[in-house]
Amino acid sequence: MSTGNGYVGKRVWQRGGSFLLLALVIGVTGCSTTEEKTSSSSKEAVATPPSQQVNLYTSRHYEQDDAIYAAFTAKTGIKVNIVKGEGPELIERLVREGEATVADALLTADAGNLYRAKEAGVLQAFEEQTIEQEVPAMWRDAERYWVALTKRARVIVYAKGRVDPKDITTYTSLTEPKWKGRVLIRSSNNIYNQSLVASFLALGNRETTLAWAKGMVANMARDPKGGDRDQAKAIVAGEGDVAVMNTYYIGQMLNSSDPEEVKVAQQLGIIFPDQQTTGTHVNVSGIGVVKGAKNKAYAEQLIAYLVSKEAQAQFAAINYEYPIHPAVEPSALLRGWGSFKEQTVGVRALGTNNAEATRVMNEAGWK
Amino acid sequence: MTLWRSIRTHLHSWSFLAFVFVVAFALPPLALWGRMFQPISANEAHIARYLLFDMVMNTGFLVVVVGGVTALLGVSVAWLMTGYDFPGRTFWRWALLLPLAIPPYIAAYTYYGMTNYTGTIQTTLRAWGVMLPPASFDMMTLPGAAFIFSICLFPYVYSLCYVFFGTRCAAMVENARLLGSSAGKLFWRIMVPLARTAIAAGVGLVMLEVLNDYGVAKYYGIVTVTSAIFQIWFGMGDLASAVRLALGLMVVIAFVMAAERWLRGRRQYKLTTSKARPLRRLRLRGVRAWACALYCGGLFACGFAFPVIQLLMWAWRTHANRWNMELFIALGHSLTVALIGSLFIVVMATVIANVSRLHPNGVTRWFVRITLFGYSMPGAVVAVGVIAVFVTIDAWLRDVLVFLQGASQPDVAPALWISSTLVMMMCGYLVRFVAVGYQAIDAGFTRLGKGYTEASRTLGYSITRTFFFVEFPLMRRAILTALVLCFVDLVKELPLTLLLQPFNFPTLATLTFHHVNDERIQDAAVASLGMIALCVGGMLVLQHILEKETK
Repeated sequence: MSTGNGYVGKRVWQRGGSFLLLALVIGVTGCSTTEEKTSSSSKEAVATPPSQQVNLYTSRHYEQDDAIYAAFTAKTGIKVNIVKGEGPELIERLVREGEATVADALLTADAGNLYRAKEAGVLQAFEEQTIEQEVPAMWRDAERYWVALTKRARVIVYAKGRVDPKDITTYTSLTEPKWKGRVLIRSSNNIYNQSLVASFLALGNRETTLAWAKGMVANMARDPKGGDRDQAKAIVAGEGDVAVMNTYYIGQMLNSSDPEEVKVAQQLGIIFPDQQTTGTHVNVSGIGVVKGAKNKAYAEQLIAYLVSKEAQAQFAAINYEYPIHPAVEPSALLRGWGSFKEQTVGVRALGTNNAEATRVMNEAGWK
Repeated sequence: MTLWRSIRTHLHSWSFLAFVFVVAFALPPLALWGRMFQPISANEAHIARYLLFDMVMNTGFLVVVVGGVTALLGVSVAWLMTGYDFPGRTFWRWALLLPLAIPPYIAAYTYYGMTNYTGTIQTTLRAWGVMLPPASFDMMTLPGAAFIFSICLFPYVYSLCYVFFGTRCAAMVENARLLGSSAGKLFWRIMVPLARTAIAAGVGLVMLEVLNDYGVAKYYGIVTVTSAIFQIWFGMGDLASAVRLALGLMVVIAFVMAAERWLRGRRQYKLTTSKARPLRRLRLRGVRAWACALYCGGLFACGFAFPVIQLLMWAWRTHANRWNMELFIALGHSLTVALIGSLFIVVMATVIANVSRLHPNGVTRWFVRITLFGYSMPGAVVAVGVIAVFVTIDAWLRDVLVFLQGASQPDVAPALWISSTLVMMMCGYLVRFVAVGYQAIDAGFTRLGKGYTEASRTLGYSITRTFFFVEFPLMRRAILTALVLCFVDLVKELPLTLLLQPFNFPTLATLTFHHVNDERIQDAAVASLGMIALCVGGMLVLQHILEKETK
């Protein structure tokens, strides 16, 4: 097993062979870089600053968004480049990239993520005045690090006919003994539940919140599983009678391409809880300017456009959400559900309490 | 003198290349390693108190059950294909690889979509007037998840074992049969022990895949170690603890693998004859033949046909909105990325496998362990490590630029030259999936034994020449298998792609994810089918080439 045993010719061959191997490696590398060049030049290289463009990290995944970005481009001449991912992961990517980042704006759902992005130091304050004029103070960061774009409520749905909606007025109603084995809700891993519990921590204290979470666990019809839509389906299937879910999922189901889903949604009633007291839990999706943004001005133009009257109605309607702009009416479907009193804990409180909320749910045995 | 000899023996271009690759693979996990030594946070104590039991039990259940079931299914199918002829064998032989084309999380969504209240089965039954109890067909359970993983992943074991049986065992089997060994005895006493390396490699891959799954566990509401990692990261915003948990998981995996190697001990099987001819198959008749066909058919239906038919039904409903340019762009992206990535992986894996085979010592054992690093951590964690490495490289590049221009620092703004490009994403794939390529190629080398190599080296060929002229032709099958396994894995890969994707670079996996994440599985059907079609295409090419070769 010795390599160099002296024959020159063999050595030459050995060298030659290894060069061949290296060449192969380099050749393939070359392929990949040329490939990259063609693919990025076809869509305008992100690294070329002279052209007007803004680079957006977003966790919104709707095709219809493209139409809104296209309208923005048509209006301003600024092209929108997109990376679609999940909120927490995009934030982590921004943390890693630091000042050198190529991203200009971060759009993400849920208050918890917006708060985390600000805490992680990946956002910077915007300067554009119009943004503040369009959006009420409650729905933007006091230091201008982000601004909400849309609202969604986390409501209680029930089986029409099997449940008298008058029996449920608050989230706490669900923990009453009469609902034992009838409540459906998804897992504690889910950020909507984390934010909901975080809002209770802000409104009450740890004991009351833990008691509520324990009451929910005691009344669950089954171990938490599936998404929000699956809770609705489980109601209609008869596994439980009431469920907690986000409003836009009901909207999506009512407009689903699957007739069976539409049927399910039609059999459900909606309750906006806590109307006499603290208001129904509302969460947001929002956007902020990234620290180190190379196209800050363009990013702010994009944000200003997204909160403008012009874009708001459409942007919110895409996902059956409530617009953030006070002068913009929600879609007809949402108007049909009636107006309701919103929780006023503020987005910041949802963010600061997120980790504690997760711990509370774990303690309560909420899977 | 002996030292010099030893250095001369071990230092050659192959070991040098292997060293470079391994260092590169070690960097991303190492970039996170620093977090290992931060003080224990309250979150970890919390996890230990409230989640540890559930997550260890559930993960243990999944790994053990899925490992066992896939071993059983994979080995039995591989043996049926090698030793017997029965109706449809040629079709089943490659059709039973097809479940690999379906990512487990898609199968999880599809099976649930099929069996739930609004699903095909229950709506059809309702239309016939059959009302079922509400919780019937509940897929979202621990056994349900185990079913999904087993049915999607058993082809790993099957393919590695089949390659192994295919060229290895003719003489032994025929001798055993001559000596009157029964079919069962033959299987348990001869085939299984012989194929141990291949089984271990296949089951190892399956177990790692199960351990690192997030999609299925998340949707089915199962607390596993990986779901806990993400709960600490996303729910508590504590990446440091999450990484530590991931690294802990990695250490456990490394330990298990070492234990397996130790158990295997120094046992090695080598071919005594150079005529590695295939086994002559026994023709089965009657009930036995049909039972075999039914067995294969059942596996094929559960692992591939049912989910695909369901996806086709959904696609039919939604295709009008999904049949667009973006789909084809994404298809192109997936194809190129997976093709280039898997080529790289196979080259690197071959180098590492060859070096660790030629010089089985402490250093190369570490090479192998490091190769498995990336596969034994959740993709998203690997991705964070990769980003950390690339951002550092970019910072260095900036320093170099500053130095070259002689300018003061502020003139050169910090920027990302190679981070956020395809290069970064590609490197992420390499780090994560080199283990898949390695396992397949290593199994090939083990099958080959050292006989040819030693003969060739004695006759004066260099390592490189031996490889290209002697080993490569014999290894073609294993290398192709590795290539396709990697290709398929790359096409399906999601968490890493999500984190490392460059701007405006949709792939089929991310396209699918955008819909699935929003609980719109039906809208994801077209992109999922595209992904499955790409994987099936890759397998067909493999099949075609192998077929031609045997002729």
